[in-house]
Amino acid sequence: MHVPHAPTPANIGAGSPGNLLTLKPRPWGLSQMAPFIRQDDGSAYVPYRVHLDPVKQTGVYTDPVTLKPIEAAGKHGSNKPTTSQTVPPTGDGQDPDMPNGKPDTVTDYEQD
Amino acid sequence: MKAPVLVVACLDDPTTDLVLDELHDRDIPVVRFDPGADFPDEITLSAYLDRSGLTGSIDTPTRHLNLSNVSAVYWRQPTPYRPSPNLDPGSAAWTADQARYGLGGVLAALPGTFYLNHPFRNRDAKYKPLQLATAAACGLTIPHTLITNRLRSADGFISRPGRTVFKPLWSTPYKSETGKWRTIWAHRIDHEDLDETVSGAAHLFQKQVEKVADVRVTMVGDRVFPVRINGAPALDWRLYYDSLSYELIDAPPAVVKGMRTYLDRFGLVFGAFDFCLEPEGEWVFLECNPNGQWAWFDDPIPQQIASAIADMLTRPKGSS
Repeated sequence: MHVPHAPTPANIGAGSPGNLLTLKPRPWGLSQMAPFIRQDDGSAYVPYRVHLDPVKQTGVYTDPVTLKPIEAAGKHGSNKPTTSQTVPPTGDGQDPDMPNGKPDTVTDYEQD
Repeated sequence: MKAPVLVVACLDDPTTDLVLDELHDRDIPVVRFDPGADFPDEITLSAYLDRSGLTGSIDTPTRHLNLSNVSAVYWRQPTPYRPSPNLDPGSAAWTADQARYGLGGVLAALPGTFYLNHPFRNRDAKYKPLQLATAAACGLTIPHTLITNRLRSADGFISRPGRTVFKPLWSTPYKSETGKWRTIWAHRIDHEDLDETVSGAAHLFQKQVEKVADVRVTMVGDRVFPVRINGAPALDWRLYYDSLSYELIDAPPAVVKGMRTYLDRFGLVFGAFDFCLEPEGEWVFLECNPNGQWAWFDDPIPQQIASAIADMLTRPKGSS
């Protein structure tokens, strides 16, 4: 059946070149962006891997090279936390520009 | 066998692990997965709906979950449903939406299950304008705040007595043109900082609270953990972890009552409230993260909060 005015999903344009006709000036708030500041006293970035403990269902943190267990950042007060340092999960801490730990505000429903 | 607690969280989350350790010590079975990262490649879903309600199961690489036998859900910070890089963009967007509304919908509809917190209540409670309006309605003191895309309104607000702070309405993952992650910290601004491009987005301006300290109050049901954060040399304490110290204090009864009412209005069990403490002792509400972290506090506070969360997740059904 022909539907002359079928509704168009609002979000279908992701990646569509048709949405990039003109570039407007960036909103003012974006000029206020600033770097994340490392909270680790200048010590070197420590990459890590995480896998699931099949029994306890906890995360097991390991050195990606030696595979030896390491302590998770932010788990204890002696470590350097990153609460509210909103950064996207990139998976197993592979982005050296990203602070260790997890964000406070990235959620399942951030796009709603 | 006891009905398990379902833990919905990303894998890299020490806060979740503290609760899981506590549940493990109590011999409570748990099932953990991260819908946005694990589905559909690593977990399978079969949910049936009929007149009797929702039944079915979810299988993870290490667990089988009976959807009609979940005692409680601990909803931490799962990975957002994102389009897969292994599909063309249109197909990936469609697939991600089906996961969100399919698996996400099932996880929001588990029958007779206690949620800490329900994901949709978390979603509602993340809107700062609604947070501030609700806090005020609950008797909490809030700073004067403006949300606008009018330069004239912003200028007029700055001209009012007191300093003015800019903070984002939402923290969007953002990479600069050089590929560096960037964010917006709460910071002071003045007239000369603004320009016409204020019109291009909604912006939140707030009168700065002259504070002697910050307070983060973690509430778990009726348990209250007010932590005074000392030592922040400037506005946004999250920039200065190395210089901070933490002190468990008492919250004024009126503030506790306001927070409890606030959680009830949003249908939340857990909330992480941020206050400024003024010199005269007034507590000024800044925001409440319905899913805030707490694992970074000095011991024994994290253990106490983990224990309180485990208490809520394992309490008998029907208790209040």
